Amino acid sequence: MLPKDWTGREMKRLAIVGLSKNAGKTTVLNHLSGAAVSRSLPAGLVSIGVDGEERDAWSGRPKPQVLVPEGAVVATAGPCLDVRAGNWEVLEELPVRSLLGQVFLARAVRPGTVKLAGICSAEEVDRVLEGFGRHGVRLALVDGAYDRKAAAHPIRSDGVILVVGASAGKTLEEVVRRTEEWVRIFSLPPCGDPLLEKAGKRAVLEGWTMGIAGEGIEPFPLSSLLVDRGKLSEAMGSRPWTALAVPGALTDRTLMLLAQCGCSFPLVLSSPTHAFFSLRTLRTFLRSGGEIRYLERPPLVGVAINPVSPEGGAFDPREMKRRMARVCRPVPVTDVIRDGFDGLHLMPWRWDGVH
Amino acid sequence: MFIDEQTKQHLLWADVLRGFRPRTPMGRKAWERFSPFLPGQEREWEEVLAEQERLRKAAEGDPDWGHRIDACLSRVPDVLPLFPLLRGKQSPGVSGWFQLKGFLWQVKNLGERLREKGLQTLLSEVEPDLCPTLLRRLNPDSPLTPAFSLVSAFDERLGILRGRLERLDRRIREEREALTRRIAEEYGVRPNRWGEWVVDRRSDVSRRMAEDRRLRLVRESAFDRVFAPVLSPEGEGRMEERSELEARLEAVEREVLEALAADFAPHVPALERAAEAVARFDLQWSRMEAARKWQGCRPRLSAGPIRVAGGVHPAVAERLREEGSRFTPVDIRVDKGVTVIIGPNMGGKTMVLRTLGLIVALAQHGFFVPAARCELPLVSFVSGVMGDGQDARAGLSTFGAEVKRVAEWFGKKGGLLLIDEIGRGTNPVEGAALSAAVTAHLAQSDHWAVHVTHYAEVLEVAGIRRYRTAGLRDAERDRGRDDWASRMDFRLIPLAEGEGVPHQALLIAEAMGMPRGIVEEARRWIAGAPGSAAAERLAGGGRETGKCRKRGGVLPWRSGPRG
Repeated sequence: MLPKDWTGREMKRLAIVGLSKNAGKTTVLNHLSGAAVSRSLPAGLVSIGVDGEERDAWSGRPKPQVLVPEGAVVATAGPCLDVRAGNWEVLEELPVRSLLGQVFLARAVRPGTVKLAGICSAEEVDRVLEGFGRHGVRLALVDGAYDRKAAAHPIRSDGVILVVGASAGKTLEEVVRRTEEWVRIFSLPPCGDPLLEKAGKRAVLEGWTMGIAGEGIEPFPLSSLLVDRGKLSEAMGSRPWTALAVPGALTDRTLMLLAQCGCSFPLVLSSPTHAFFSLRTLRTFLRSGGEIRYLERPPLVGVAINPVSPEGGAFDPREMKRRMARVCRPVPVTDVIRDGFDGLHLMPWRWDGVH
Repeated sequence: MFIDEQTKQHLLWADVLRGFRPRTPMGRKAWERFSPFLPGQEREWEEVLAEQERLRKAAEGDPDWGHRIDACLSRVPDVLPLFPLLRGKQSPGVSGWFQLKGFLWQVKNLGERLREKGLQTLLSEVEPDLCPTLLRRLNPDSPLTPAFSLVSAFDERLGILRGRLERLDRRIREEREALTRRIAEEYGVRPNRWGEWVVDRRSDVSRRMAEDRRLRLVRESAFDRVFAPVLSPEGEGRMEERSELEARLEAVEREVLEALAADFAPHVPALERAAEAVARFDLQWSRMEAARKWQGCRPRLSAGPIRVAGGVHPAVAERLREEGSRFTPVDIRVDKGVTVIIGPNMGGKTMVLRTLGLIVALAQHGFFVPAARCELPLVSFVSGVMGDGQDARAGLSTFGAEVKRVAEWFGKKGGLLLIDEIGRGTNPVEGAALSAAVTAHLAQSDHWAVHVTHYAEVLEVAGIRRYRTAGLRDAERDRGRDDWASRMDFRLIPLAEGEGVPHQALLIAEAMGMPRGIVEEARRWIAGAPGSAAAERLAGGGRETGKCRKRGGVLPWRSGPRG
């Protein structure tokens, strides 16, 4: 049986995204892959960007190794498999290149560790996931690199787990604030309206902001919203707009300008990866009557916390979990090291020995 | 060089070949160093075309079979970097062995597919036993699969060591589990997934655990302590034994791979021949597929002239299709010497050059060509002076660049020369003289030259073949209509005896929106020009039907025989 999120939805592709570097994504990945195998769910492991290295690419600190249970399929570069040649059954060569070389799919014939060469583009991640499907993977685990939300793209995942480490801030207040901001912005609602959805798709397809006026979708007079207030105001007044669909990123400045120009209707973004504004500006925008919706968004199925920072320092785990649970509600929060994934209801706990 | 970059650009070579992409890495490498068929290689050229004809027949008769061939080729991995390693008896990594196996697997499949259609000779350079023999060496257990792993059947020591390791792991795991269960029961604390206990450092449990010799403190923070179970001395001994076993297993795995490399070393020449055969077949298949898109015909060898009927430039035709127009097919015969094409501006003269040059270049690269019929001798090179050939770095003007390029041709033999209005970049009197003189010299040369010109003097050259583009239809009736393109007839027509240069520039200018007053003024200028009876006719928009108007005295080449 596939894992389900807290709303009961089955998940075949889970993405793990870090709020900061050294958040503890690899620990979460290891936990999930082990739990999947113990439930007889063949897992597939892939990493976006640089991951699985012995040292963190940014801080240079030692990183936990990616543990590969027997039967799991990995997507990684040939040289990473050559380290322990006897551990692998090489299944397929993919038309994907990583910084470490051509990427292969290989099944672990014995448990071990691996360096996961990072896949760079979203299209390449798709190819890997298709490959997993061909080789019987039931649960794909996509390890997103620090500060990359590409893995959170809905086409590539059925759910996202956010990993928040103590390294995300100097104080617990700061970590909680950053988490709340991420969760609130990520969890903005989907389109939920056929006309908005149509406008969103057209904006992405044509790479041009689209406006809805009455029942019709029309190109907005400006190719980019990164303009001065006068021009934006003029464009806003050109038609009786009732919604705008923006194909690219929406920044703090643009959102503030839109609020000042009287934008009190829905804005459609293609996905949370395009939201580059702060919670404070969002609040101002929402108070002025505006709304933000996403064309596509995977559900946030859980938040995993790591109260210990590899750079030194730690927060009280109970306090951190309590405060995080409050700002993330209704998304469940877990401390993987202490609680496993019980709190997320993803993988019912079952002690099955040493991995 | 068969065809230089400048000429390729003029012919829109890259646009036409955009759809041509060999499927295999070796096919792509072979194409990069591919040289076209040249005079003396007629037999090889005909063989390549005949093979493609057979392939095309098979693919068109059974599209599924074609898809299977495509799939085989698309899955052939790049094994070329492995050959030097194997030649030196060095083992590639496990991914390299997988690629080699994949190569053998796909070559075997390809051979089987070709055999289905009686086309196995297309891979005849591959030794019949190569794939089955080597595949079995990479897959010592049954059944054969495309995956690769160091299965225990490679060496009995692998099975023995792996079995021991597995048994040892089981005992270590059982001991840990039993100990973990005991501790969990005693302290009433559940371990985490890694069999560790994370407890509040201030708790009583933490204090007691710290004193328990069966546990060791792994790490601690300001809030927690993390404990792990300590194995018994027997357990520790098993862990040491395990490390030794792992090391021995790794050493045996390395030995197996090295032995495999030594085993494969003598087969490298045969593998290289197989890779070359795949590359050759891939080029054939990809050429055939590309030519199917432009509905190409097999070019035939000619003893002398280049003949094209229904020739099309696929890239231009595609562009016109998108604009709702259609390409007018080119019918032309080009003999050794010079073929002159005259016609009004925008009448399609340059497109004739492009289409002809492209068809010849494609043919000599082994393609079926975009034409209804085509025959040609193999030429030594294709070169063009077309459009603006300015080389800014060399500081050459258009005229200078053209002259430099044309001068180079006189030192060569047997090329197809495409000349677009040579001499237009200088004053008309000298330009016309030079244009005619170059034509006269090329007429006596070993080249197949096609010269597009507006100079009437060029038509005076003896021994040349002449064409004109048809030009504006029904000029008088449609005068003033905006849609000039629909009035234009782009067909190439052999020039009748005594027919001269058509004069439709003013009509076209008018059709394209030049103010009528200016056009009328131009007509008056022509009418007032000295000694021009023809000018009267021109002013009325007709075609000069008499001998060409000459600017100077009798030209020296005028007295020769007319072609």
